[in-house]
Amino acid sequence: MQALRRLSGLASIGLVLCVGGSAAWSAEPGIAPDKIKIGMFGPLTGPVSLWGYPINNGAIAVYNHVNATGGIYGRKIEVVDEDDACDPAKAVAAVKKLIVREDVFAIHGGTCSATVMAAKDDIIEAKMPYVVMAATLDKISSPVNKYIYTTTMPGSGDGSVMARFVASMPQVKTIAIVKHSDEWADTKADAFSAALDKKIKVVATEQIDRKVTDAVSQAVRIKQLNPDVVIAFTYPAETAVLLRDARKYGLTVPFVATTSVMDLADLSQRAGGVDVVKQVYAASFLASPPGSSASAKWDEIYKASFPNDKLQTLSFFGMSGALLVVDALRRAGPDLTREKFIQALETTKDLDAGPAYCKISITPENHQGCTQGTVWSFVDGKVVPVGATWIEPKQ
Amino acid sequence: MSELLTLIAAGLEVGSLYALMALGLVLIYRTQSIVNFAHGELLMAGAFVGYVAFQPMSWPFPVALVLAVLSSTLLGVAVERVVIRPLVNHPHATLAMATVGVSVAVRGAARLPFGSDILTFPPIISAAPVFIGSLVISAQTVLTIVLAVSISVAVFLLIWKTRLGREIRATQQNYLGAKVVGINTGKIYSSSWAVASAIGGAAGVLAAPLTLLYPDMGATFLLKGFAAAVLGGFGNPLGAIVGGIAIGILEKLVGAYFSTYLIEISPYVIIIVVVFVRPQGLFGRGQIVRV
Amino acid sequence: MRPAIVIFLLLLLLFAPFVLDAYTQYLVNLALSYSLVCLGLNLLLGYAGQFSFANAAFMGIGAYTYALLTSRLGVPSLVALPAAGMAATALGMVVAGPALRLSTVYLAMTSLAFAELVQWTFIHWSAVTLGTDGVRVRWPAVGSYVAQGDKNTFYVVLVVVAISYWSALRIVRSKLGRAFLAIRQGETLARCSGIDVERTKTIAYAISAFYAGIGGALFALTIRFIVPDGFGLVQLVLQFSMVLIGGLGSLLGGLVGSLLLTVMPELLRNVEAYQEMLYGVLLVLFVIFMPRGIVGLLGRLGLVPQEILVRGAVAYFDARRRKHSGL
Repeated sequence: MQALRRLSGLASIGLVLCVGGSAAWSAEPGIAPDKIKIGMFGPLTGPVSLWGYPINNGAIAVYNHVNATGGIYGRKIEVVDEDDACDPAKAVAAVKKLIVREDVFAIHGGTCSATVMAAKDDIIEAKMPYVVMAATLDKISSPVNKYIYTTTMPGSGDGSVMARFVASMPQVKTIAIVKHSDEWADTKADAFSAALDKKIKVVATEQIDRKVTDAVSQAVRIKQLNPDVVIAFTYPAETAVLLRDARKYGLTVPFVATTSVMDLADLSQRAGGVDVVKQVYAASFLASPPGSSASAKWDEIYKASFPNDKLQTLSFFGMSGALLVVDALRRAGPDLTREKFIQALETTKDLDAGPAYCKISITPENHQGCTQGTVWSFVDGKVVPVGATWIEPKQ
Repeated sequence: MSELLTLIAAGLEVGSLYALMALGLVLIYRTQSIVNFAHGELLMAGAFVGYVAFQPMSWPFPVALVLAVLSSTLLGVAVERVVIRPLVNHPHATLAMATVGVSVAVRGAARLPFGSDILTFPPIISAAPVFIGSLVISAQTVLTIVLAVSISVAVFLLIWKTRLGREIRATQQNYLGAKVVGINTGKIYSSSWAVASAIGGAAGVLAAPLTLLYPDMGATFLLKGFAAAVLGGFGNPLGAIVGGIAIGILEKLVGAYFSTYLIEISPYVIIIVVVFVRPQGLFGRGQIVRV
Repeated sequence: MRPAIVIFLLLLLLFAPFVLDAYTQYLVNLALSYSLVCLGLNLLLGYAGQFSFANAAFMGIGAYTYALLTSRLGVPSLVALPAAGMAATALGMVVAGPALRLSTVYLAMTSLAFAELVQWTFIHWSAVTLGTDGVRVRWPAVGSYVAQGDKNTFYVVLVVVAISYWSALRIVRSKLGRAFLAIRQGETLARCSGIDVERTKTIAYAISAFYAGIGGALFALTIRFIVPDGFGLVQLVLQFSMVLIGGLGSLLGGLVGSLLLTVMPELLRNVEAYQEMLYGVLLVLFVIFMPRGIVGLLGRLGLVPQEILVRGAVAYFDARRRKHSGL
């Protein structure tokens, strides 16, 4: 019997540990006279933490800035940042923790589409207002759900910006597509194909795997078909490898790429110099690159909170969402409730999206607040926005 | 025709790296019957040390290469001495688990300084590629192949022409016999790991300009190295090298002439086919079971 | 004495949903699903001593079979659950069958290749698997009753886990279980004792795949959304850690390990950067200093009953070995 007693002792300690820590009951979760609790989640460990930190930090920087300038009706925003390691199982745990334990007022988070898709049901069941951080899958916010909002340009927006740009390029008759095999690339590629000028012919669709070491086969195949433009639905590192090998094996045609490589300066470093990326046109949902005069205000806001971080386009991904949250909190008034907050979100109109290119507009029928984008390219050794359609480069 | 040559040249370049990986794996496997799942991390460590020396420090490439090889060797010997040696008489499964643990730990450690960015190692010789007709060869490709071949030749000379090599072979063939004739088998374990890790480190520096640098970069090379070793009949150094080159070239040809969707999966198909059809590999002989 | 403890623990678990919040309940469900996946791995690695990389793939096959059968074809949960286990076994047999006849290194390599092939298929056979879009999984239903919410799902998970552990206990205590241990001690020796080594290894592989498949199905209905990425090398390392830290070669070990490694990272959410390194170091330390894991240690301290079976079998074979070698 001694063993039994010992076991029951252990078990009850375990139970106490598990039950502890439930929050005090209040009229509206996550609201106190002096603070509003906002939950956040994203990949803070593992291989994708590379993106997780700068993206979440951008949003945190905006919230810090708001707090430093007086908060919202006297309330400071308190962020609870949880790790999801880009793993659906962990994301579901993180979101449940935010809902049940942290008792947050709203959630602003999610960089990997799979984690958001996995956590979506829990968010809806908890009637939790949720703004997407950086995940781009269209299915997250369309069809519309009362609780889910996004200010990140959805994958379909990316694809159509690229299609419009390609159609405006002079004398483009044939194109080749290179893409990853995942939902991220598929969404963009599908929207691209749907919006593409029907006179333009797709001569090849090639795959490139994640974490490849080279893209020689792809380069050689495409070179033989000699298309006028190559369209790349690829992540930054893989785009660099693809470009490097394309140029090396004599494939010199222009590339049109997704928002993932709008940090063209970074891409040029990885692919081996500005020459390699000279004819690369990347879709972008930001108005201007970090470090340019137009983005100075946002550069400063980020630096104020994270002086040691490298300033990159990723630092700006989360800002538009944070601006939406802040604006809706303000318009919801001092007697804050989730219902009022959701109402404010749904009536957002032409809100300045900070570093983002678009104006944020949300209606009860459309929760994708930002679908406009532009195109960036290298001109005279600097990354500049060239506009949504082709402009003849000055010689 | 000339694309074919271009593809073969590119295949030789990656293939020689796979071959170096496989050679290191086979050396360790022959000596201690261990499948070293941390071998990819030895490559990764070499690549990062080489990067730090070559890029931020801007030391000349040979210095970077030597430093990378030295640090991988140190890491490998330390792993053998601290983790493997106490377990040497344990079942294969235990040893494999231990190397998996080392692999995860080293990767986690590398993520602390290098986890926030994907780094780029510039080509060692930044000459423009040479076009012969439409055959394209870059100086980097030639350098990689030449260095890989030299390293392999050096390893073979070490194994077949030196006293240490004879002792390694003796230990591989008959552990007890080697002990009886007075070979310090502990030293042989360390030296096998040292040689294998040195090859891994060198492969890391050679791979760095080709691939990009991130803490998980070793995994791809480890898996390709496995495929190469299996193709060569796990345990045969020459087979490992031929296997590596064959897989490198095959990948490029499959990608260019069949479908780019099949590039990454082809080495695994090879492993399964080899096990079904010719389990002793291209060069293997029958198995010897040690009781 | 022992049944009393088991019944007490089960009763305690039955009341768990009344005291746990949804977050903790989810973690418990997740840990229980993992414990089945680990049960499969432990039978193969801990009992039969075979090193295979396919466990995460088996889990994936189970998860996908369950998810696709229930949500795309409307198959009842009670049919889809065993189907998940059988699918994993069947596919495992086809590919790994030949490798079992060869030395350990070939099983390791083939299972690695198999695991990669399985993941490739999840991604590229999108007409069936929905590719990287992932599959949404419904709450499990038994007849017309739908187990909605983590608390209700818990009972489904608990019943499946309890039945599986009971059957696994029967297996390891049978003649077959002793044959597994004999093979772990040494194949040649086992063969000399009249054990059909190839057949026994194949059975061990099949059983282990079955449990991992069922575990995968429970995993799917716990997290309710599965993607191909979830069943790769990262997943496998997690399972290795669970089995090793819990206790290799002990059924209780997988359970302890999965509970610990599901809850611990949640408690360690603040030391994120060091988590991965910590995992690796822990793995190595356990291999060297505590090869029988936490359960082995508790056994030595007298906190849980020693697994008489393992010790008995080891003593038996040691005695035989001494006799045969004439020492």
